Amino acid sequence: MAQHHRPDSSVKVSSHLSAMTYMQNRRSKLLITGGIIIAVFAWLLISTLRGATTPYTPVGQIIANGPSNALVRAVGNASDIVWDTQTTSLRFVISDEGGSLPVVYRGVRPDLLVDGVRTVVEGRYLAGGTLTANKLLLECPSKYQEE
Amino acid sequence: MPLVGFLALSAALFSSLYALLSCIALVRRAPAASTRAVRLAVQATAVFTTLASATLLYLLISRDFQVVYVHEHSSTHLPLLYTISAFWAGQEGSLLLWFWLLTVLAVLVMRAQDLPAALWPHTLGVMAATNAFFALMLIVTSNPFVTYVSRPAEGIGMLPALQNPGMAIHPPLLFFGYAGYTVPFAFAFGALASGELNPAWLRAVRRWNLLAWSTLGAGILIGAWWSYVELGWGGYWAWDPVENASLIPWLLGTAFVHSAMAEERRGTQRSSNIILATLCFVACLFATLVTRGGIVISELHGFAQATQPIAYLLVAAIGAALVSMVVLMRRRMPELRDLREVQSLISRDASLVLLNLLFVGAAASVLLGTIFPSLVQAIRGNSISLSTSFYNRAVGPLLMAILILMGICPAIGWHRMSHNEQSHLIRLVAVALASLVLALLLGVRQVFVLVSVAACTFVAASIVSLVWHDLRRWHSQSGASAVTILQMLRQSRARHGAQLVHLAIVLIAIGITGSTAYKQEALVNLRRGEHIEVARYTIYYEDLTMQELHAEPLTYQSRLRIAATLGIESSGSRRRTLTVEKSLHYALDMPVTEVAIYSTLRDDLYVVLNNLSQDGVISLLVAINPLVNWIWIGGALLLLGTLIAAWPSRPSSAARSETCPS
Repeated sequence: MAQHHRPDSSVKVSSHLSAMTYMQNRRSKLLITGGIIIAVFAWLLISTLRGATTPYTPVGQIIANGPSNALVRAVGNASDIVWDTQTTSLRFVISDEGGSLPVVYRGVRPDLLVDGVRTVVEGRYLAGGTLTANKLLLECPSKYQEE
Repeated sequence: MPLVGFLALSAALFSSLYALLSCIALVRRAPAASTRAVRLAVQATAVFTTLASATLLYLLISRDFQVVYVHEHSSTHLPLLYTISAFWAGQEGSLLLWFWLLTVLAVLVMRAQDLPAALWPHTLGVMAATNAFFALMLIVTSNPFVTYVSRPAEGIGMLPALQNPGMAIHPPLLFFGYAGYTVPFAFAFGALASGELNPAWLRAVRRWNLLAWSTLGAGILIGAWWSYVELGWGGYWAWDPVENASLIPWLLGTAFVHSAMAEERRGTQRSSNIILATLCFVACLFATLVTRGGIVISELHGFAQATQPIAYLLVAAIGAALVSMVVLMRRRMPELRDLREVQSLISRDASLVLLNLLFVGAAASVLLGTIFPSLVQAIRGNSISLSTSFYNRAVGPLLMAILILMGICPAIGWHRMSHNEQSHLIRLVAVALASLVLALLLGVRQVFVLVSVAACTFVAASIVSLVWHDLRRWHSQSGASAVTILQMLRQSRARHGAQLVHLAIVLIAIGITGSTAYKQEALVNLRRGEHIEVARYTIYYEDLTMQELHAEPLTYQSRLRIAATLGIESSGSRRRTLTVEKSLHYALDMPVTEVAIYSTLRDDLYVVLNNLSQDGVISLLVAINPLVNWIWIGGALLLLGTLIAAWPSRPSSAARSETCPS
């Protein structure tokens, strides 16, 4: 860094008083700019937070609500897991206390997806009574908890 | 034997408390106080933790399954490398590793020549207090030396996903970074408490700071690489709370590197430095709170964990650090005033302030996203999830702004922009716009990619012109031969190391952009002898083998290995072989899939064996991840650049103090 040193010019002001107001002007300018940046940033954060949250919905309620194009997230125990080679998709059922829901997912079959494991699915409950998942998350079983 | 380890930990607690008390006595100028007592106690603590660590290592290697930690994390068939890395596979061992690193760092700090004398007792006092805290935490909540009443015949072993070289070195690097950030905090505390607020403390802390920053960064990148090659989901960053927790101190640390430079060179951002040094330290403790405390909801790491006892200790430590720094800062506020005001909004002084705002903003957003689902659950009682789009939309633009600033900041003057610099900037913008037009002509339509292309070109052009400018100046100064230019480069290591780091960030940005925007995925079925084309690759299914491994005794290693051999052809290159495999681990009751990757500078062919059906059809996930290799290349350059910038040199430190304007 030592090589890159530009000569420093001090502020040219006639009196001490004008130097003070000069500094104060600079300072308020900076504060206003900083304030605007922070305000824009806060607005950006809040609006994004709103758009990015998906509520967890009980399985029974998803079925009761009927088919819809809205994203839903459900958590339940997985069962009847099969890989359908024809359609290259994964089919299984998730169940909670309120009911069971067939799920179809096109993607990698996670190693952790075995019978009885708690599974999070996110997707759309479309006509036909199947939840088309676009995301599949597995809880690490207790023996996995270390990492 | 386990008793030796536990006794060593207890001794470390006492010796670090003794060191702390001796430091307090020194500060109070008590008659009995001596630096010798501190030196002895700090060294003794390091000896005790080394003994404790050596004991755990011995217990692991000798496979003493009576020790709970050894039983839970290793087994007879575990290879030596992973038997050693089992040291940090669990909470107890990783805290012990962190503690050991802390005590060694305390000895090194104590011996450092450039630690200002007035800071000495305060700084070592903080290090000793941190040591005592870790000893207490280990003994009370996470003792690695707990034993069973009777000795189990075999250990549970290490999870297959953790048996990867990346996972063997990712945690130690991370913990080195975390431990390293205690040093700047201890220095900042010392400077505040002693009132020696001149830039000497920052100059002395610079190397420690860069060391912590670069190891933490390397740890994060290696973690991402591990996730990419081992977890088989095709990505490298999932914005999971555990990943976020390590990113927060790194973002704050990056801000600190820059604000420290601003104070050293210009006497600005003086209170920012104290605040950032504190926040980095606190963020490292917070990272442990997230991973081990059970307070943050992580979908991948369990749903409703109960709050762990360790969480209370960590919250208390975070509180103590914050409160003491706030109290000290209030006392020293007048002395912390900047030595000069920022003159113009378009100046290097101002853009460094803006840069740090952006970094702190990014860290705050990541923090908010990490704790948001837990906050909603705590306040409103309903569970929600936050999708990764939050991070892409909230953190993405901030990182892009930081990238652009990286091109502007070094190209303009400290206090204002000159006409020359203005026309230079305009030329750089013109180059960036030209790249934008070129990208449009090539058919790029995504806004994110267009912005990224322009920003990367802008920064790269700025770096190249800066280095070119330096070389030309030296050449005209000394009519230099290659040898003298090399000498000049050596003298301005910090400056050019920093430029290399910036270039590395550009490469990482290119890698992230390419792999995010142009990722292709296909799910395909193949019979033996069949082939399929995906993007520029042709994939042939050649052979399938099955073999049983380590059948007796039953451990995590016992498995049936199914491997499919694939032939890969791409235009113009010879045929290669890739092996995708799935192992059925008997003890795990689940399959473990190994990814196969054919990696080039242009793209990665990423293949996962999804399913093997009864009739012999294999289902594959084939992904093309463009430019992903540049992320890892950038990571290596980042380390190299930091090493160049931080390498100790005696003459340059004298030169630095001459040019320092304070």
